[in-house]
Amino acid sequence: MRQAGPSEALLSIRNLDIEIGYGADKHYPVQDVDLTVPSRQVSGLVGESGSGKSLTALAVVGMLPQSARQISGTIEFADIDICHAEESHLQRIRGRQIALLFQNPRASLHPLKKVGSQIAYLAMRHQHLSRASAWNHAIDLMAAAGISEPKARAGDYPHQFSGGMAQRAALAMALACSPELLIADEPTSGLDTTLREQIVELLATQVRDRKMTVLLITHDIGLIKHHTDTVTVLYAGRIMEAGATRHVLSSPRNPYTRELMRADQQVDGTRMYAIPGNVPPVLPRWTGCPFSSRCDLATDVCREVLPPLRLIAGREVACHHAE
Amino acid sequence: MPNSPSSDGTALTGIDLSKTFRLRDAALGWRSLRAVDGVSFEVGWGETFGIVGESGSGKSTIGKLLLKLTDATGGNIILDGVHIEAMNERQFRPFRKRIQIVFQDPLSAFDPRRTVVDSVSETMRLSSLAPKERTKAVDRLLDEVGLDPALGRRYPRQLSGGQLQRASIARALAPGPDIVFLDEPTSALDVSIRGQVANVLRDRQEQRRLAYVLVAHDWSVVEFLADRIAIMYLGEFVEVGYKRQCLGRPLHPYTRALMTSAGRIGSSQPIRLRGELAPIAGEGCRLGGRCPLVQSRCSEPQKLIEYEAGHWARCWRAPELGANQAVAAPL
Amino acid sequence: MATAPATNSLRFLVAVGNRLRVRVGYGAIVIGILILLSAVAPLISKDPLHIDSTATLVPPSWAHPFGTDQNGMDIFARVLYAARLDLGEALAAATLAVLIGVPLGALGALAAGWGDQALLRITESVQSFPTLLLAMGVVAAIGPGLGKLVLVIAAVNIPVYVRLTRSAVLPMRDMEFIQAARCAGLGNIAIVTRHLIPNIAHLIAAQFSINCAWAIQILAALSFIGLGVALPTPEWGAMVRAGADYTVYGQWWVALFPGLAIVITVLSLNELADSFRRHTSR
Repeated sequence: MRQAGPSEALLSIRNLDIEIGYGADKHYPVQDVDLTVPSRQVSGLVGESGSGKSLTALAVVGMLPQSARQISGTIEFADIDICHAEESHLQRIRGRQIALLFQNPRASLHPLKKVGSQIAYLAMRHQHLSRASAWNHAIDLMAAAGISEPKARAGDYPHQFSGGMAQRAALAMALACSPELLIADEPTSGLDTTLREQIVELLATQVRDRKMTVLLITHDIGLIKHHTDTVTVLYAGRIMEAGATRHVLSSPRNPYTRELMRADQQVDGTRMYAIPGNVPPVLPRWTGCPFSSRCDLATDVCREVLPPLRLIAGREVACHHAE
Repeated sequence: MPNSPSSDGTALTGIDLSKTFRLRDAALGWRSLRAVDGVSFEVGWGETFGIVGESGSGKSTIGKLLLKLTDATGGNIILDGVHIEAMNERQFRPFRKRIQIVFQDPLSAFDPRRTVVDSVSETMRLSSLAPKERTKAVDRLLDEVGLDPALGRRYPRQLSGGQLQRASIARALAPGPDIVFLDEPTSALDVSIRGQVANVLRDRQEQRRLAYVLVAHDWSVVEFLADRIAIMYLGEFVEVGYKRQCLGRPLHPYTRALMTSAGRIGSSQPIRLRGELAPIAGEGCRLGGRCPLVQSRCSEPQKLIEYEAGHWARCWRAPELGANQAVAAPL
Repeated sequence: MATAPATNSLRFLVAVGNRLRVRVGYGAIVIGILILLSAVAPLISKDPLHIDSTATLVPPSWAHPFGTDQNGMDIFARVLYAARLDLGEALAAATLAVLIGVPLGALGALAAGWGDQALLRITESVQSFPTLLLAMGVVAAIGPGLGKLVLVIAAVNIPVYVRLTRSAVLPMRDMEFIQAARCAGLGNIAIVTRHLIPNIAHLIAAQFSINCAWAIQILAALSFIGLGVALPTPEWGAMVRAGADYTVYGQWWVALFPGLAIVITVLSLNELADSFRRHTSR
């Protein structure tokens, strides 16, 4: 892993607030979220269901679903103000400067077009390559993504690809225009465990070789532990902890982070460890710590006052009892 | 709930079970898919038999065979001493209350247009309770699995994943079965709450000496619940043994590969597979070229051999792996 | 919304109308009005069969809102009474087709095997005939008559429901909640009634609405070529036929009003179908 030295922030999100729904059904899946993605590093965004991590990623490229609105906050990518950018400007950024890799690889691939064409199309559109050189570029990318016999595979259709190969093809597509930032949202969920390592190591290699930056969004603590430089922990729409991975995961200061690690590293016993309770399916505007109903350190102040994000022990923590 | 264990204490036995699907391929020809290929196992009362494998291994198909949701192509299934493999639906119906299944994805396991209580009551019809007593029994059952009975009046989409999976367990337990097939019961849940479901399952098993067949890829759950484990690859068991044996000293390269990528390899030699799942080619080891230890002898048929008491492996290099001395041949 | 209406009852009607509009769309409102009008026809119109040879081919006026036809019969009354026949027949035929086609399709998809294959082949054969020609052929063979017409129209529409149900049920067959029902000991018929049909009801409803529209068109077409209902029974298609000749001579009203009635009814039924379809996953 690279040293986390002073790096320019390629992506900077401040006070992001997203609201979904209309009238009485409104809820708030992302509340006051800050996220800094330093250049040339792999940053992790970890959260479970209902944490708001995927919506945060979509907000970065201006692709929130119809019923969702960003109601406050700023998103800055390489000196571009995303929140106020025109849609045409955003279209030039998507694919070219910011690439996305999603969970279900088959959903990212057009089922009726050859895989090679799909990759080549991006190169032709954004980098204005000729058809022939775009095709060769596609084959090179597929090889770099670890697809064997890329020349033959480029002429195949997505349904002929296995899950793992489809995800590699989606990665090749994401890399087609040498983006500065790659946002990978659960790129390994649904893939076999033996493939997960391969895919994530591939991402790490690309960062080194192509001087790229990656934002890795996942619920899998194991992936974060071994492959990210910095990590941000989200719970029920709010930040719990953020900082260098080696600090946060080896000595977590937020109870939720601690509990997450504990559930991940089960020690054999008579009970299997789990955090009691649930995340509410619909998130209200939190007026106290969202984790307080499930935290065994919770006191009245936790339930009544939102814990501010403070710098403690070299990382940002939102907890009244962090010291 | 009286379950009458047979004299040898075995709840469920599978002997040489096979299921071959005939599928149309893209060129409209017929292709055979040997989803389950000669699998044998035994589960005692109060025991859990864990099956670990990845996609395409055939582990879910075993569940369909055991619950007679599809017919076996070959082999025997013995439920508490009775052969059920050749029974038709009418003959098997009295057995349905003795064996139930918990599905992997709780959301698709419930009819979206029926309340949770409705769906749980559906299996309860198999029990001998009168209709009037059923509602109370359902509420009691929901409470036992840790669900507020008021949630039962809601629709599946209004419950969280963890809550719905617990309802799924309640539905499986409703008729008072002796044997439950658990198909990845915690995989669709957040890691931080998997324990909630696992604890419920374990408690119930201890109370009633239930026999579980557990399919999972999450080693934490397997370690917590299973007594004996089988590792499955492309339709076959490649390693079978007691939990401590398989986890402490895995004898098959595939087992090691799974444990390596899960970060659980411990002091054993790590192994990483190459390439991707490929269809069965030839009669030799199905791992084929993916295995870093492959040699020419691997293209001969490999049988399950007992390398230590109760611990079997389908690899001629198992002794080397057991002694942590296996060396990958440079290719 | 514009200014509020003056009286309470009017406000109530508007509120009901709005709720209907939001929940089921304009189609339901129009059809509702039509059914209402045809039900109270005797109260608001003259006798549709009353021949007045002194008032033949009178253009629309206060006495005859839609004018009279060549026999002096009031067209307004005939259009309203015909609604009973057309709508009633359409509903009956479509309902019959649903009651036979849906269970057949569902059981076929669920049970699979040779029965399902036979069902497919039969429906394909029936559907390979153009519906109207098939209906014409059968009617020509067995003779006209309202009851027979309903049966014929139902019969030619059964394959539609068989295939619709079948294609809706096939992907559900392997869904886990169906397998769970099997594990609960439910047989095919129980699975169809308890689980399959409730989950495809909105699709059937949409098809039903379109079917009604189609049934009206078939009946109108049959009557137009003389194989449907005989004069002087009021029926929209027959009226259009009778009036078609007179349009050339400038007596536009004889064919227009029944024609409009058909168009409005068919469009409303289609819109109703759309609103059912919009109620997909709830």
